[in-house]
Amino acid sequence: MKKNNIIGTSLLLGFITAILAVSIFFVNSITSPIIAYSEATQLKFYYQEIFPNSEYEVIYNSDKDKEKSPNILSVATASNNGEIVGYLYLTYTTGYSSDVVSLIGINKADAKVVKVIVTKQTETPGLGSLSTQPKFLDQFLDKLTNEELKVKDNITAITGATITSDAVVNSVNVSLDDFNNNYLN
Amino acid sequence: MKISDIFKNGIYKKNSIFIMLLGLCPTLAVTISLFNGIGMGISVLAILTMSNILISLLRKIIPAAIRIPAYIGIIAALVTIIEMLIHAYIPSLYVSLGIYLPLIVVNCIILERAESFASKNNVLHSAFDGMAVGLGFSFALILISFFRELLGTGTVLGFQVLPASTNMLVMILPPGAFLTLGILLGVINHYLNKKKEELENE
Amino acid sequence: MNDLSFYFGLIFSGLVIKNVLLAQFLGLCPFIGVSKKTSSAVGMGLAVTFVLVVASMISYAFYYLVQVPFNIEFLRTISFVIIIASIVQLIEVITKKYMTTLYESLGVYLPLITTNCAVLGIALLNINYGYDFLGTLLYSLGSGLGFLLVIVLFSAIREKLELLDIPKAFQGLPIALVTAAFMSLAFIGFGGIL
Repeated sequence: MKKNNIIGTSLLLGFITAILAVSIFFVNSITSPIIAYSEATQLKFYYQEIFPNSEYEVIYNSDKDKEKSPNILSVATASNNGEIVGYLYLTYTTGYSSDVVSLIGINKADAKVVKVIVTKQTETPGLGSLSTQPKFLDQFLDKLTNEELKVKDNITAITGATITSDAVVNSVNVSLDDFNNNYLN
Repeated sequence: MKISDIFKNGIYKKNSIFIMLLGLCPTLAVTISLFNGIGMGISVLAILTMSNILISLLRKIIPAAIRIPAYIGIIAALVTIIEMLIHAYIPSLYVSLGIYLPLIVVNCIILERAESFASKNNVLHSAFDGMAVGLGFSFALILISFFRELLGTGTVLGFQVLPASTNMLVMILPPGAFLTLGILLGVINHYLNKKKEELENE
Repeated sequence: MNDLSFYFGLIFSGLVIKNVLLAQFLGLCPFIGVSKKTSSAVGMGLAVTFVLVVASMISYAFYYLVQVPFNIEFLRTISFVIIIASIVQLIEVITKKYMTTLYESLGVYLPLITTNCAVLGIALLNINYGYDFLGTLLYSLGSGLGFLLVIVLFSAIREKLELLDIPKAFQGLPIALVTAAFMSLAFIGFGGIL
């Protein structure tokens, strides 16, 4: 009698868990395409901001490719009339309280930084969150890819948010390094 | 049990944060802005109502021995579903709530209501209880996040209302969370003590 | 050398900079509930550290050995919760049978740990930050010790607070929270080290 009871309850628990898992699968199958789509459109929007009116092609995606630095999420090329004009690096580094994801655009012809955009961060508002502002990000404009960027040397950190500033600078450095090694003429 | 009593208890008499002090982790962590506070409050409200309904429906089927794992499983599934829905439809909220969204699973309030209310009452009452406690929780979150955002960045829901020179950054840093809750609790205690004295004097 | 400083940094950041309690607000229920006496705070802190490390390692292994190969990463939360609940149950049974002294000192705190968000939180954070096995071990250990450190310090302060003359409305928890605010402020000072 007692043994039956144990088997019965464990079966019931297994049954409940199975129903729960199936319902999660069901919702996931609805939401995951929406999430993927909105993330892709968002990223395309940022691409447009850096290299307007170009065609973009993702040439590296950390989901399946592993050879680059783990900080690099994806690399895309921007081309005009079939000719590659620049590279777009999506990178992440850990900031003070969150992952800081930034998109770095590098011009192919003169090997200079075109623009840096912080696309995702939940750093402290008023401190680390200032990393999304032009005042900080504009410092990266026109930096040459063979320059080693360093807070205090050639980049002024955000007041009170050294860790976040470092995170963005590291992201840029990783991208510049990778560009120099792989795509520099 | 009267429905009005359920609401009175959930919203202020036994407010989960100010009186019971349950579920403090999300309360302090996400309340850096009013937007976050409202988002977290509504997520918990939705999950609490649904978990109360489900658990009340299943209260006669689930044997006492596997009660806790079954409840945790149900809550975790609900949280995962809500998390995926928020990720799909309100991505900005998903990003700003971060890890504290999946952590609703271990929010003591939800398991506490499941154990002490939903497992003993009918579906309708449990649903109302979930809503009431969720509303009380949201109310507390909104109050805390309002003060923190206003004093920390001088904004309300992102609109500047105080000049930047009056910002006290410490309010949106972790210490500000403890400070705000501590002072709010002190004020509430003061008010409750006063009320008690009045009742005794009558 | 670089690796060494990275791993040392992980322990240190778990211990003070990103302290679970004061900077990440994970595990506040026991922090408030079990910090009235130093002796119980030590017990709770040790129990949390122990469960935290074991649970993080097993969750890590489960995530990378089972969930990633089968593409069911979205079942992460629910599986981690179940793992933690079973581990806590298992530890309770094992210590009760074989390590009676340990059980007597930590046993009462074990059931409380299932709903301690520090354990689930750190297990999820390890995955989010993409730490490797050693990183996961060190970050969990640092976080657990950070929890222990702060809850013991806090309980010592609370014992003293009991003896002070504090306005009636602020007695007990309100003043404890204000104290925690100042502790947290002090811990922010460590932020500049790394």
